[in-house]
Amino acid sequence: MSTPGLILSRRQTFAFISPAFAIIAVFLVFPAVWALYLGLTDLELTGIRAVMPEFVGLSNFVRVFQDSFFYNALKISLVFVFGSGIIGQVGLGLLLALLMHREKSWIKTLVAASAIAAWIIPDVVVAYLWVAFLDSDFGLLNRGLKLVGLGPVNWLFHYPLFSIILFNTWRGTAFSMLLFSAALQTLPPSYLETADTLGASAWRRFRDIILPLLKTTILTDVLLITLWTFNVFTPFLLTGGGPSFRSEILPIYVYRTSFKYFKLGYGSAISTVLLLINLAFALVYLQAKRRQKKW
Amino acid sequence: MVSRFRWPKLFLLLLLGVGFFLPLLWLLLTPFAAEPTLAVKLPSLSLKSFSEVWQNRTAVLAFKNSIILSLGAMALVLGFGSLAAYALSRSRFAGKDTLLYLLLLFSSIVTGVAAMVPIYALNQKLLLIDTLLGVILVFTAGFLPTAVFILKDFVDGIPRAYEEAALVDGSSSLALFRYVAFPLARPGLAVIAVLTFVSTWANFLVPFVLLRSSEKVPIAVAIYQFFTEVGIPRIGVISAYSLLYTAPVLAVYFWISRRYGFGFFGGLKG
Amino acid sequence: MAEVVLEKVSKVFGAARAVDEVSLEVRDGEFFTLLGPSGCGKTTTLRLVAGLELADSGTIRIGSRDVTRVPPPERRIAMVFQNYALYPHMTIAENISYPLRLRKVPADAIARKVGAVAEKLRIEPLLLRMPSQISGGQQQRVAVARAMVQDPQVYLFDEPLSNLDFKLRLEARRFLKHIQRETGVTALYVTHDQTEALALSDRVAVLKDGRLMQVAPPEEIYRRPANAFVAGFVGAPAMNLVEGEVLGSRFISGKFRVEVGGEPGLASGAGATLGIRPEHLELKPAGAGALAGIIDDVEPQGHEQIVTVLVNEVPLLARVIETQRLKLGEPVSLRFDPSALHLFGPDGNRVN
Repeated sequence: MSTPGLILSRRQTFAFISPAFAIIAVFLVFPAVWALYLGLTDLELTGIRAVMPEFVGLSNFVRVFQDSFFYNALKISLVFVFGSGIIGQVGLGLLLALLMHREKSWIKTLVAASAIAAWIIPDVVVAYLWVAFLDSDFGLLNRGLKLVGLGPVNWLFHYPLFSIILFNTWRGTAFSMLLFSAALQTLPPSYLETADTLGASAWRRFRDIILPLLKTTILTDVLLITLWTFNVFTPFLLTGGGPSFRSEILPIYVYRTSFKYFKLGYGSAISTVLLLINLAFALVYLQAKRRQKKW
Repeated sequence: MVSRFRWPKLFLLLLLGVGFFLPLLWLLLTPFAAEPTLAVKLPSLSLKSFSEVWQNRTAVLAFKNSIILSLGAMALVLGFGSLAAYALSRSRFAGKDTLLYLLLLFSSIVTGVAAMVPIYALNQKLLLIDTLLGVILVFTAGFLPTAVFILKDFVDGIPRAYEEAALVDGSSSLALFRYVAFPLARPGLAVIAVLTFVSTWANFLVPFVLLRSSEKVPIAVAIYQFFTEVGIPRIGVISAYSLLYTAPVLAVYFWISRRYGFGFFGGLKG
Repeated sequence: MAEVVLEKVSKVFGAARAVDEVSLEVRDGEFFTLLGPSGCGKTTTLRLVAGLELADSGTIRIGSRDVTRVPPPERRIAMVFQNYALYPHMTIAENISYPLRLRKVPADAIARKVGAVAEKLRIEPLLLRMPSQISGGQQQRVAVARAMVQDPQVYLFDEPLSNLDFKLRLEARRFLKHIQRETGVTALYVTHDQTEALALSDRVAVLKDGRLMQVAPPEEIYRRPANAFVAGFVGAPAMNLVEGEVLGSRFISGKFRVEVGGEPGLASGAGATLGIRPEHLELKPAGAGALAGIIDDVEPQGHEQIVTVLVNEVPLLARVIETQRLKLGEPVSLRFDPSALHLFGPDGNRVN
């Protein structure tokens, strides 16, 4: 073990880290703190309030909690996170990982490749893919429904929330699937083989062996997925939050308030609320990560 | 294993696989169609859409802008990130762990639209609105924490003995970094380089909020403008452009996951 | 209680024939060992019997029942894995009782059974602990306990001792043999360790590249190896094997010549391998034995010495019990009983 100061002196250490930390401080840390201050002003994107915002105290925050659009967006966000994040990405990801574990068929390759493609293709492209997929006249989904004598359904118009939940599930399941697959790979094969020789049903194998052993992985995944899904903006590209706010999740609401209605001060107040919710999740996540690996 | 439940299981898997695959089909077929529509059908082959992309001024400009943004962010993340990671790996100071913890915390909470509102206001104050530099700096700040973490792991894996040997030979600290640690960490740097490149390449939100003039926008925003434009949407251009835009991302993912497994990609994606 | 019969069983992985037309019969109540180097197909054979792998061809019977296509739980086997596969989130008692709980055995019956097995294996004080809190040897006993509560017709052991250190291994070996004798349940045991195989088994099957090399009781495997592979694999230090040819009643390899006695049943001039175990070579003063040589190397082992003697450029190992001091380069001679010689033909099979 060498002396820590030998390779880099204190001054050199400081010089090495300062450029990175300067950028992070200005463009990442400062905005988060500043949002709190901006939320106390009536800053707007254009006009007189853009140049000379006034300090308005807590009135923005009071307004947030009286704003029916906020509650609408909050409610839709909760349904969206639960539907596409927890049930969709975590649940389906776990199901896929379980189905694919110890399986060697080409079907596994098809599933994995498609899900991963859905996950890594850029936002605008997947959004447009789904606009095409859900199109009421030409879309593949309605074509398929027609084959069995159903539809056509104008998905984005009549079922906007369901559409973005389906979309976001499709979009993000690969992460959970890969995470759980990797976790399953680390289980000694003999754990499941013992269960095989004992004749444990698929359900018992899952409940008695896999679930307890994957507990921490599942917790990690739920926290990360919740955090990400809560902040995702991509549904905007599908529905723009409409029709009539029926798919307006919180990020779209913030976008509309700040950049369409130009109310940066009020938007900052909502942002602050969101950032605080993020903070809560991130703290729980990092705490859980620290305590990982116990038996 | 001798199991009675393999076929139902495979059938369910196949069903889900088809569900994941079908929305992708359009991207694979339409760019090559002579008469592109929103429908998925086996096209009469044509590369017409690709030449349309090439003749579209906005598309070509956006391509250039995307490259500037991604290369810019990549250079800054690599340069500053590797210096910081090296220092964090090779020296100990009070509060280092707290610093790393806060770094991780901030990078995971300052995300999405909620972060864009104060960032917008900040860029406006700094006169960086509607400039590529502003977008590059925001990208850099966003990716630096994760990059520093991954790079620090790489540097931690390099035995100090290499540098100590050079130290005994009389190298300066900067020379140690430049000639010993930097080349040894090259695989890690390559990963960070391509990950930063594709992550910024694929990002829609930041340039969408921070850029105004249509000649400055990158591909992501250009495609969005194409399909929200009034009039007849140019489906051929959109599909071919989308495919060209997606290809490097897929290639990089393939390369990284071959070499390092999926974890790395997940790290920067969120 | 049941016998296990394999008839021309094969298993192919990709291009490799992991198990190649293996036929064998494990008798009821027998302790039967599959022995061979890694990759010889012994574990695959065991997994085929367990039902964890599906045979590509051939038939597997347990008792009188054809189980080739029967799922594992219906085969009435119990398997002990190399890493024991104790569930880390269950207590020892929960681990042992798990098979019974799956079969919906009433709680009081489970308690009685677990108690009885735990008593027999002397692990009662451990019942409420977690697997991570007990030693490797104890974990191994728990794994055996979990197999015992199932009342199987056959125990399948996949290298169950290889995760233990040397001392514990000897103890666990005796314990396993004792348990198997007492319960009288047929045991199929896989190991790469020939000492273990000889010490434990009623009969041993030696495998190489998915094929059976020899099936015999341990003494016979040791005394009359069926071919040069078995001869070289079983015994430590390994049998001296010299390649050469047979002329009349003589084995010749360069300047190295040995009278093999009688008619070896090989055509004159045919290639052959001569074998003799180090323990059958007696070190004598120069001129006293049939083979003259010089001492090339001496490895003291405490209770004995392994001496390498160079006989006409052929190195031969000899075990020397005496603690006599030996000098390198010293001329000596080796004496042996011609009946201790093994002679293998050009195909490697035994000819004498």
